[in-house]
Amino acid sequence: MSRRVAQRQPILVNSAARPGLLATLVEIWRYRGLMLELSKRSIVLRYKNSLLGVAWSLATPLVLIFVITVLTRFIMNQAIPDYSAYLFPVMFAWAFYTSAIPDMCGSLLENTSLIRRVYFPRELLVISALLANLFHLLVSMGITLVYLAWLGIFPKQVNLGVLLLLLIIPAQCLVCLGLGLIVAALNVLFEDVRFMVTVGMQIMWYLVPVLYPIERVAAAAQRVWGRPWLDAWIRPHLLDLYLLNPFASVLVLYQKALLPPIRNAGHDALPWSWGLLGETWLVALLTLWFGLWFFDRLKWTAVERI
Amino acid sequence: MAPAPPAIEARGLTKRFVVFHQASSLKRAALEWLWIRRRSDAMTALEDLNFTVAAGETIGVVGSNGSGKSTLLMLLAGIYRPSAGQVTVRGKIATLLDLYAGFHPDLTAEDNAILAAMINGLSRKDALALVDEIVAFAGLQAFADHKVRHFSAGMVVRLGFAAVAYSQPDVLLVDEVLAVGDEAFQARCRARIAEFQAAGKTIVVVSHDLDVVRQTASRVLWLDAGRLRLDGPAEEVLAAYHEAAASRS
Repeated sequence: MSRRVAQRQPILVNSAARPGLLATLVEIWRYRGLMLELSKRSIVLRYKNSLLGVAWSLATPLVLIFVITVLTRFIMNQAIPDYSAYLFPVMFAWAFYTSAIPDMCGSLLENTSLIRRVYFPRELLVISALLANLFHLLVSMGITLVYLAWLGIFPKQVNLGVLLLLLIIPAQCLVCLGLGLIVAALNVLFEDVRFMVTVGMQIMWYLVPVLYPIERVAAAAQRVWGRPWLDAWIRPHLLDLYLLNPFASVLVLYQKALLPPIRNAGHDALPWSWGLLGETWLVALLTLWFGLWFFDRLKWTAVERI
Repeated sequence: MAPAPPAIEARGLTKRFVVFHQASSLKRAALEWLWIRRRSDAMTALEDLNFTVAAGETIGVVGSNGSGKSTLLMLLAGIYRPSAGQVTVRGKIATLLDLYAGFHPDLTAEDNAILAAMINGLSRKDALALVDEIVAFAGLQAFADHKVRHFSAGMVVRLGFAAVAYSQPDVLLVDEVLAVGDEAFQARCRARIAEFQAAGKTIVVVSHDLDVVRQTASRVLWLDAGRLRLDGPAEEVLAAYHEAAASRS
């Protein structure tokens, strides 16, 4: 056995007292090596028996991009030039949501044997599931840039906007992590949560601007709906309410950062908005804070029930 | 030199579990919450345990099924949180609590060994440096890049023990897993445990096999229905425990 390196002796004080949120975050940081190893493991495990490996994480969004492009052009008859380019970033960003949230949801149950072996901050498992998906998101954003370059959009029409990804991707991750922590803890206690996540994601699919550009939502707010209370209360704020949903606002941010203003979408193109970015960050931080707090309340009970 | 602080210190250590009578669903939880009717009871697994273990001591824990032995190990490992009281453990903890030792069936022996060593507190760099030795100690060099899924139970236990042995713990918590390996490996384990003891590590062994306890532990805790019934030299406590078990049957 190799010589023991002199170091501060760790002390575990296990009592009913609850350490604060800050202490938990500091502890997660101390365990970052293990966190990265767990993330690497889940990337390796996902493709354990596949020939194409990482390419599979791109396959589903690519097929959907193709289908939706055909649908919008020939069936829904929306003549938006290069709509497939607008689909690339949002489809991949959406794929991140649909794969990261269920992964995080199952992360505690899947790692029962690790949990029942030794103490480490349980948040690590949820964060690792997120990081494994972040890896795929980064790969797919690279592919998006290649496609945009091929269409001649990047770097001729849009160039520095790409740097905005550095502000958008972290916000998306924090939203996801907040939600993931909530569902991961609940999933251990209640069998139903898995199904509710699936249903929730299906509903969410229609509440994000993928099948239609965000400009259509703005256009819908211009028409009179014919129901007095909806017209009075909801319609004037439709776009704001729609964008309060972080799933939707993140996708809009991707489009506005990476692509030139959309044409022929039934309404004037909405510009890039720093306000929307700020609002998304605010929602993201609130979600994360609530998620951490919620997970912290439930994690010990969850471990006992696993 | 001042005497070293004890490796393990339990003060009023109590653990209660909430027992739900029916399978839990969100609907049921919501209904119960609305009606403010609790369909749960608290089950006391451990009550008011007080003991200390000096650094370098090896203690055994005995007791009948359901007496709280495993819960005690979970509390020492920091996996469960006490309901009241506290336990302090000084030093790096490693555990051998269950057969599968946290291994993933679809990862190779090598990858699993790295993760196991890291889980037990080694840095990634140290784990990578030691992985060959770990696999060799388990006698699995020929299977280093085979998936653990295809290993026999004995091979898995060997790998688990090897990963723990090389992760240089100060406090080792063992729950009845060592009986699985073959004769040669068991001898190696005993040698390794003796080495640990000689190196001044603290060991807690839970076992139904009183011979194992007698051989390794100098002191024994006897748990009876969640309470500490007897705490003393191994021979004394084991004799009393044996007598009680005989008179009950």
